[in-house]
This record gives sequence, structure tokens and C-alpha cells, in this order.
Amino acid sequence: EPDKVSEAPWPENGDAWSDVENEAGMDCELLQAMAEEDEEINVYNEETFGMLPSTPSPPPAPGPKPLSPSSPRFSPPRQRLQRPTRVPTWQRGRGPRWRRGQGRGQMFEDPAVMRIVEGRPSLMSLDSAIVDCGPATYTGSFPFAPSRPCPSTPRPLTPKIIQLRFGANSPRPSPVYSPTVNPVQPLQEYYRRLEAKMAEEELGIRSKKEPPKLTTPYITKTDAYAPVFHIEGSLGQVAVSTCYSPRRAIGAELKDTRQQRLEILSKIEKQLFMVLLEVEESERTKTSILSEAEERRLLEKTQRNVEHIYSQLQHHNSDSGAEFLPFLSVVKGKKLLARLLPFLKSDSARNILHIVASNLPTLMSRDTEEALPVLYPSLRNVIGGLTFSQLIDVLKDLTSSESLSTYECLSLACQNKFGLTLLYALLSHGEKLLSSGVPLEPSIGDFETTDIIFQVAGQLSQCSLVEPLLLPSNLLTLFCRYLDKRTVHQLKSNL
Amino acid sequence: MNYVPGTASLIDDIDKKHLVLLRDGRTLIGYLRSIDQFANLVFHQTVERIHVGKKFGDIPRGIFIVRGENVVLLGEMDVDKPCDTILQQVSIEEILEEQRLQQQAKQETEKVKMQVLKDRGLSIPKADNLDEY
Repeated sequence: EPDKVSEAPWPENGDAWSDVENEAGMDCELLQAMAEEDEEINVYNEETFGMLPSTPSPPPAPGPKPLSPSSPRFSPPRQRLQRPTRVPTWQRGRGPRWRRGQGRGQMFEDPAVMRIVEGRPSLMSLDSAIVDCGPATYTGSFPFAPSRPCPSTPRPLTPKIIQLRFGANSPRPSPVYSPTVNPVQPLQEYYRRLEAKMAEEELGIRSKKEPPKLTTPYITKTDAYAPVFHIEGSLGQVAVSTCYSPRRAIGAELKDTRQQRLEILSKIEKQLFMVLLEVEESERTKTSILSEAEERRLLEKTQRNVEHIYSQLQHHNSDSGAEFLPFLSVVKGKKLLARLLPFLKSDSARNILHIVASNLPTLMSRDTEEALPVLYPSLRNVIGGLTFSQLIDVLKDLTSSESLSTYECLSLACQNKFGLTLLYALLSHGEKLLSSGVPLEPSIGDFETTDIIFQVAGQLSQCSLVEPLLLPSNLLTLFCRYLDKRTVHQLKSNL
Repeated sequence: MNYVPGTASLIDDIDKKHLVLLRDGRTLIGYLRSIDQFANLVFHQTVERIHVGKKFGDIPRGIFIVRGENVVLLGEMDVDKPCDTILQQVSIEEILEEQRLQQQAKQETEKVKMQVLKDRGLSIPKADNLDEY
């Protein structure tokens, strides 16, 4: 068979180079068949080349497919016709052997390649000079498609026609042209540039004409937030979460509190600590000799800074009511406050003490790092400045939490080093005031006052107590004032 | 938006035009339609692009399902970027012919090399198929 091909004579019509079987091909029947097929080639097809012409021509019966190389449809109608297939010069000796995919050309067993190779329109089909005005001869009176002029009429070369005739998958001219001297190459280049320019122009329109999106349930699932991302795999379910910590991905509902925490920490570090350092620095420079005016200015500035920090700590979130609490819940915040307290005015400092006392259970529960004792020295000083009635108020705060009973508050306090020490500090100061001999407010005789101390003492005698940071020496004296000998004895053994 | 920060995912690449290089050396271009945890890929309107020198040719392939283990790399293609490459698109037959010539030339040089080595008493085994280990 290969020999047969090499013996084939050079046909007079160069375009007719083709299969051996097609030796008798070039006759009227062929031409007519080609003309019929030509009708089917709707070069103005929207899919291939964009916009339709102003008068849409009716698509012929079988329904045309686009002229793109990807069209598989070209093969079937072509089969009734042995097309002169393009075979480049250098392949002339091999012909069908190549197409049958022998030797190295296994690609040509590839159906996709065959489709393109065989499905190409030939020059004859595109040559308007050859194609007859088929429809006009059938009906006689008027053409089938009155809007379309005769294909033989010379028409201007539109980009679409250029693509067909000179594009990448266009029919090649007769084999006499060698591959190195390709006259259509500049035109191919031109077409490419033209297409690129058109593409740039259409850039705005093109964004609307995106490829149709495939929405599967899998894709729509991603619209909903999922901290743990589950993929149904063939071997089972695969879960994907952040690589920092799976726990964090699972506990996604706590995200807000973490975010808030980060905000607070950032605020402390970036804003407030700097101001505090300034305040402490100015305190140190006070010892140096300054003029009166300078000293006054320094004092004013310090005071402003202190007030600034205080107000910042007080009102973190405009909507949340908890003053200071977010800051007291973090270690850095506690340290900051401990260092700030000495600089605060007495009523501000007392306010802090009240906050601490009122929210003691909360603070103790949040204090996982046991950092509360850092506040103790500063608070101790504040307590030292309290009057008796103020002291009683603080004790009231301590024992009356929102959700917990007095018993619960006190027992919690007793279980916590800081809580217990704070309690001791308060009681100790109370005792100091009582024993000072200074005439105290009428509240000393109040039932409330005794009641509180009684409750506290009772609690202390019953609960198991932790080791306090500091055990004041005058506690027992206090209890002796209010309680009977037995309770005092019990307390003594407990403390 | 990455719903799972700290991870990489192909989910944002869906419906975009991609170029994938396979382990057998084939280059495919198509719209990525589906993925799974093994990076198995489904391509739509796929085109196999053969490159030889400065020329290339496209073979339309339709829908492709690529097994994940065969992927060397995958990258999104910018459809809006103007094509300013020096690459020239040619017809299928031409590119296949070019490819055949390239392969032939390679084999010729390889043959010569082996002969030269043999003459000197050396024999270097060829790492022909990298999958066999």
C-alpha cells in the first residue's frame, strides 16, 4: 500500500491531491456536492465568529455547527465526499501511511487530530469562484436566501474569512509550496494581531460574556462559612481546618471574645503603656531640680496622662457596660492598673477597688495565670486610705455579687489567694481604724456593719482557707470584738 | 475569601482557565470545573497544546479528567492579558511533524552518544521511565 502511494502520478489539478481512491474524483458531481456543503458552512455563525450580520440567514436543514477545529460534526457530512486533503510537500511520499498513523506518527491515530485534519474545509469549498449559486438553480424564480448575495461575488475580506482561509487550521495551498516559503504566514501574523486588538476593544463587553459557571452543590456550599471544611472524598470524609490549631477551628463561636481580647491587648501595649511609662518617667524627674513653672507643667501633663489612661480603661466599648473589666481580665491589664493606681486620685482609686471587689468572682475565674496578686500591693495602699464607711461599702461589694449569694462569694474568695488576702487586708484596716480610737462614723453601731463582719468571720471559720499572700496580725483582735470565744478559737486554728 | 486561613485550596480556581502540565509531559489548557482532595481535576473545553521550539499547535479534547497524582503543576491563565508572545500557532500536522523531527534528532544524538561511550568502554544506563523505581 505505501508503494502504491509513491507511484501515484502528479495530478493536473494540484488541489486534487488525495487518496488513491479519489482518482476519478474531480467531476461535476463533486462540485455540486461541494456546493451543497458550502451552504451548510455558515461562516457567520455566532458561536465561532461573534455577532451575526444584520439579516440573519436561515440555517440549513441539518443545523450547522461552528467551523472551529473542535467541531466533531464535520466528519459525518464529509464522509460522503472524498475531500482533497491537504498534505504538505514533505509528506507527499508518505501520504495515507502517515494518516494511518504508522511509524512515529501515533498522534494520527488520535481521533481528535483526525477530526481536525479531515474536517477542514478545502480551498475549493471556500473559493467563491468555483462554488455555484446552488439555490438559484433549484427554485428558478428567486434565491432561497434572498438576503445573501451570490457566493461568487467578490466580497471584502472580513476577519472571519481570513481566519477560515489563512488561520491555523485553514486548508493549505497546493503541495508545490514548500513549508519554508509560506506566503500566508504574514497574514496569519496579521490575523493574530487583529484578534488581539479586537479582544482588547471588547474587554469591557467580554467580562459579561464569561464562560457559563458550573454551580454544583459542592461549590454553593462554600458560600456558607464553615470553620471546619469537610470534603466528601472517595475514601471518606476529609476535614480541613487551619493549621494553627484544630481546636481553634472547632471553637469558632468563641472568635468574638478572642478578637476582643486581642483588641484590648493591642490597646494596652500600643497606647496605654507608653503613656504610663511617660508618667513614671516624669515621677522620677520630679526629684531633679526644676523651676516652678516647669514643675507645674510637668504635673499638669502627668495628670492629663493619668486621666487619659484611666478614661481609656474605663470606657473600652461604648456599648458594653463593664468598666475596667476587660482590662482586668488580661495579665497585662492587671499589671498596667497596678502601676497606675499610685498615680490616681483617691476617688478614682477607690472606684477601681470597688470594681475589683464587686467583680471578684469573675476576676478570679478568669485569672488562669494567677496574676491577680500583682494588684495586691497597690490595692493595699488604697485600702489603707479608706474611711470606715468606705471600707464597709467595699466589704458589701465583696459579699454581694449579682448571681452569687454571700456565702458563695466568700467561699470563692477564700479559695483564692488574692481574694483571701484582699479580704484580710480589708478586715485588718477595719481593725486598725477601730483600734485607733478616732471617733468613727455612726455606721459603726449599725446592724449592717456587724452583720457583715459576722458573716465574714463565720465564713472564714467554716471554709478551708488557702495560703494568703499576707496574713495581718490584727485580724484576731477584730474578731474578738465581734465574735464569741469559741468562734474566735475556731478561726485561730483555721487561719 | 479564604474561609480556612493558613491553608491553600483550589476552590477559588474553579471555572477559570488553567494550564496544567502532566507527568507524561503533556500540556493541557482548559476551564477547571471540579476538584477533590486528591487534586483530581475536571477540565472543560480542554485543548492539548504541543510546543516545539517557537511553534505550537492545539488539539481540542473536550472534557478531561486528570488523576491528581499525574499533575506536575497547575496555573491559572489570564484571559484578558493581550497575547504578546513570540510563539506562533501552526496547524496540527505541522506541529506534529515538528515534534517528530525533534524526537528524531534527539534520538540521533542519543544514539551517537551511546556509540561514543560504548567505544570507550562506558555504558550509562538511561533513566528512561522515571516511574519505575
